[in-house]
Amino acid sequence: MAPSLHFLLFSALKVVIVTVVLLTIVAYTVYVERKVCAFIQDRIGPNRTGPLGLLQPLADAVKAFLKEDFVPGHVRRAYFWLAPAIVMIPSLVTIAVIPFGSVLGREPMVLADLNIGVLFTFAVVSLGVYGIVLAGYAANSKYPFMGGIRSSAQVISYEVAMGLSVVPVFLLTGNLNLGALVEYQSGGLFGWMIFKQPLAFLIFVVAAFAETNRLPFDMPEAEQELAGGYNVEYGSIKFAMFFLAEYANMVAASAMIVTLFLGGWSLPFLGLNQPAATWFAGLIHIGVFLGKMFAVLLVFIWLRWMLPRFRYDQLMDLGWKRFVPLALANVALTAIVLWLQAP
Amino acid sequence: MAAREKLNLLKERFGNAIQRADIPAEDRLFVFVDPQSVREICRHVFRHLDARYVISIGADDRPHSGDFLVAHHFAFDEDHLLSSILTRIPADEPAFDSITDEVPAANWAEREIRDLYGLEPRGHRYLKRLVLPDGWPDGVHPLRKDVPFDHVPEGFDPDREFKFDEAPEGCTVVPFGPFHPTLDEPAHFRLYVEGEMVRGCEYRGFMVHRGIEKLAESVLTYNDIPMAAERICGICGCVHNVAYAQSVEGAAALRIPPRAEYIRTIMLELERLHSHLLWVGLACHIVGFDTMFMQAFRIREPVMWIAEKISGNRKTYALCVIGGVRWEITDDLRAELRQVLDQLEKEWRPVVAAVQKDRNLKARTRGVGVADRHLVKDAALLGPVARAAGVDIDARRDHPYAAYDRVEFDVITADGADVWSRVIVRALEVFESIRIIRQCLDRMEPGPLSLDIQDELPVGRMGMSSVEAPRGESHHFVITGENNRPRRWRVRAPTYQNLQGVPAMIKDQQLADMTISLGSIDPCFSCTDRMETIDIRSGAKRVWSQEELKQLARGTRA
Amino acid sequence: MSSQLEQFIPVLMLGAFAVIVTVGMLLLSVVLGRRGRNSRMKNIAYECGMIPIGPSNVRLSVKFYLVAMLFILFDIEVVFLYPWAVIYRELLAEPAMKNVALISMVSFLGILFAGYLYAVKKGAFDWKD
Repeated sequence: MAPSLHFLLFSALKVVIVTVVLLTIVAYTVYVERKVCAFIQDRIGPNRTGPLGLLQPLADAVKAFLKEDFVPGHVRRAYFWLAPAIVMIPSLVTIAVIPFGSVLGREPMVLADLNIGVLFTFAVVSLGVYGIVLAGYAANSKYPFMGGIRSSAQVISYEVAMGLSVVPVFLLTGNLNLGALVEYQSGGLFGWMIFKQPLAFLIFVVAAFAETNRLPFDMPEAEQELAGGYNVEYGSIKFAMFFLAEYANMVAASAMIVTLFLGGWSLPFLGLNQPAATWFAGLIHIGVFLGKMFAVLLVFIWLRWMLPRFRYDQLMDLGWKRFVPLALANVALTAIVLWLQAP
Repeated sequence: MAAREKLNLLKERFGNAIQRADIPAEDRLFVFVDPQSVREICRHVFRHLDARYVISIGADDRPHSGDFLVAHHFAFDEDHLLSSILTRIPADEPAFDSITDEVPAANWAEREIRDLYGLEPRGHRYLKRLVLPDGWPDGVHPLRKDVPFDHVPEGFDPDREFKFDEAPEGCTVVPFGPFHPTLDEPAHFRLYVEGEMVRGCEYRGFMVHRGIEKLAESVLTYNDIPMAAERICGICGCVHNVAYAQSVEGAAALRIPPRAEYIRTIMLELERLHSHLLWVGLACHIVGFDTMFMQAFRIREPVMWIAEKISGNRKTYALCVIGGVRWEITDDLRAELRQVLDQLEKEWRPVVAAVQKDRNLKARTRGVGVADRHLVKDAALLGPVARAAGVDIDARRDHPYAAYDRVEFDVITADGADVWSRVIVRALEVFESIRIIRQCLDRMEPGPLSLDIQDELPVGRMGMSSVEAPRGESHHFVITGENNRPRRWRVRAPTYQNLQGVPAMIKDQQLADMTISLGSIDPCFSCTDRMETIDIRSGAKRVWSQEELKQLARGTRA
Repeated sequence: MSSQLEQFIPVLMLGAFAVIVTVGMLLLSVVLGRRGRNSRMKNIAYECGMIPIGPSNVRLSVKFYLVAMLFILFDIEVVFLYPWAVIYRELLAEPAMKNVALISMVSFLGILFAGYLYAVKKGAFDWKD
């Protein structure tokens, strides 16, 4: 049975729109970050390009493209080109399974309603690590190499905690599909996973910080320690791509947090917890989702400017010695509680 | 009287080895000793009399007595005494007994004497060139009096490269600096790293050659030098300015007017304020806490403004002349300064409270970069580094100068000996500085700003002065001379000693702690590199011309 | 079944589009990027402004390999947990399977935890030495 033309067409349309919107959000997350940071630090922030500096992301992009595309002589060329692409592509693909709205008309507001939703996300996110390791190796120079190894060790360490932290969530829902998860949570405010599984939420959020290399886990950018990280030898758009990927990952992580723990597109009042019957309600759902996502993003941004960085050993300690056993305990605990509740 | 007491102790023990002694004031002691027994005497002074090593200084006295001089300075902090143990080195046998085995802190100072005077330290175990440029020919010793200040030596070899030591077996060499995002300073550490741990390092500094001391001894005049002196440092220049003026005033036995003393004290403390605020910001930047960095700079800014109002400059106050100061602090300025201090105190309190409670910051800095009492003693570490290790030294109290004997303040100490303690010591010293300035403002009385000096200053007298810079004691030594300029002027900035402690502080630490450990001494490389050598750019054979440098920068010269 | 496979088509589309965007950006930069002069110094690896010394592949702490190995172990075990998590409530609903569902997985977690404790005791996660 061949997929219908209608399905293909709408899928393609959604893919293009979602990617463009994602990239725009990424660009403006950078802008918001700079503005928020400036606010916290009693500065002004970007204010020269356009009103309130709103064209700053555009200027940054133009600058990145116009910079000399320099490949130093000592690098491993093929990998040097490959690394930023390998980091960038997964960061754009992660959002495929996230339901960013209920339905619009008759079209479900998710790119791919996979029944293994979460596994897909984890799998794709993991791919980004290859880019980081490769970037460190490709640069053929000390700091990037050490930085690459360090940050990949960091990312994989927190992946274990992250993977474990959501198991209790699926014990409750019995379904890996993210759409089903949102439905499960749409019952009421206290149906949200953040209230049912606060520990899982905490571990997941912290692990997300680590996965996206955000302060206090920003080893790859710890310029004060290793004179930068895996991206030391990079310039122009290749450098910008690492940067973009990081923010895209952050957006994706926020979207995941919203979907897993904060009820996704649903709101427990005004009847917004049911799939939209009208176009208007559909749009509202998308708005709700985006609103929640921006709130989470703001937390990401805010925290970055409030904390000093962990040292590497402290970060690994936190991941392996605190979060892994905590997450394991949470799994066992949830299982036992469910067992006790069973008839 | 401490000076005579110590002299008697030395005479009792060493008898004839003590050739001559000079006690110009009750807190200064100059002893000429027999070169044969200098090592023994220094060991006794350092280990048994428990004096603090300050610096070793060479001088070329051949035009006057036919000899070189080598002086080892020690401080008896509890007795409020600065002492100098001098030896005459005959010109035909230019060598002296090294004291580095007895006093490890003398390592650099003796190598510097070797570089600049060609006096060989006998028994020194690590005779590597320290301060001269790599391509500088052997046998040309720029601080000798027969070398003109603008001398361009024959045979300068620009291709000769610095020879680094071999890395220990199994260690990777990780370079650190000069172009490091955190520490963009002319300093290079070659770290020997095993896994994540630093096992050792080699330091290469002294890359900047400004020739300030040589200029002072051959071109400038007494009242020019304070202006050159304050350009030694990019942050705490006034310290050098005052320390120089005081050492000359000490040598010439001048007593400056009280108002000038108060003004000096105020400016020195203003400088400490802005330096400490800057440092706390930088330390936070190093551990990735940029918000604190920015806030510290914001809080610091009014201090710079008031300094500018008083002196015309945010920094380089051009404060001192011999015998007084150049700037008046008028009643208007006094009122304004009080406001600035009130504001600063109000804003700084919550910052200190926040820093003290920050668990991440504690986790990052506790037990890191440890310099305990023994290291402080052996490497002669200074200032907040020493005080954070519980070593209670502060030149303001121990060797009072300016108006510090007329104000009350506490010397802040801590006992962690680590980076955390240094943060706390500096953060709290800000309040003490505010306290000192307020007292000065209360007590300063109208009067002249400087002495009216008509006569030539006496010739051949020695003077020394210690000033507590934000980074530790800054020590100046002067021998007065003819032609309205000193024969010898030696600057020992605090970082000169503190840097020598860094290898021990970072050993067996994690690589990630390197930056904050080094940062915790508040290193000032421009102070350390004050450099007595001569500007070689002025025409040596293959030195880059400006045009060539431009080409190099454009990359057309491959 | 086919509808599930069909769901992967948009994923492929997204992947393809991501590749296009990425490659496009790389190429655009080549086209638009300013041409700079080249020089020997420009081609030298960044080592804090010094001429590079020694091999660029530094010796790493063996800890990194340990972490990588432990990651693989734990990650695979985490993956095993997912199918169980999904059907856990269904199993609980069946009286015959109720206890089996819990005990089998708790014992699996127990073994996992024992291995974890062993790694901790062995100092696999201690970076300070």
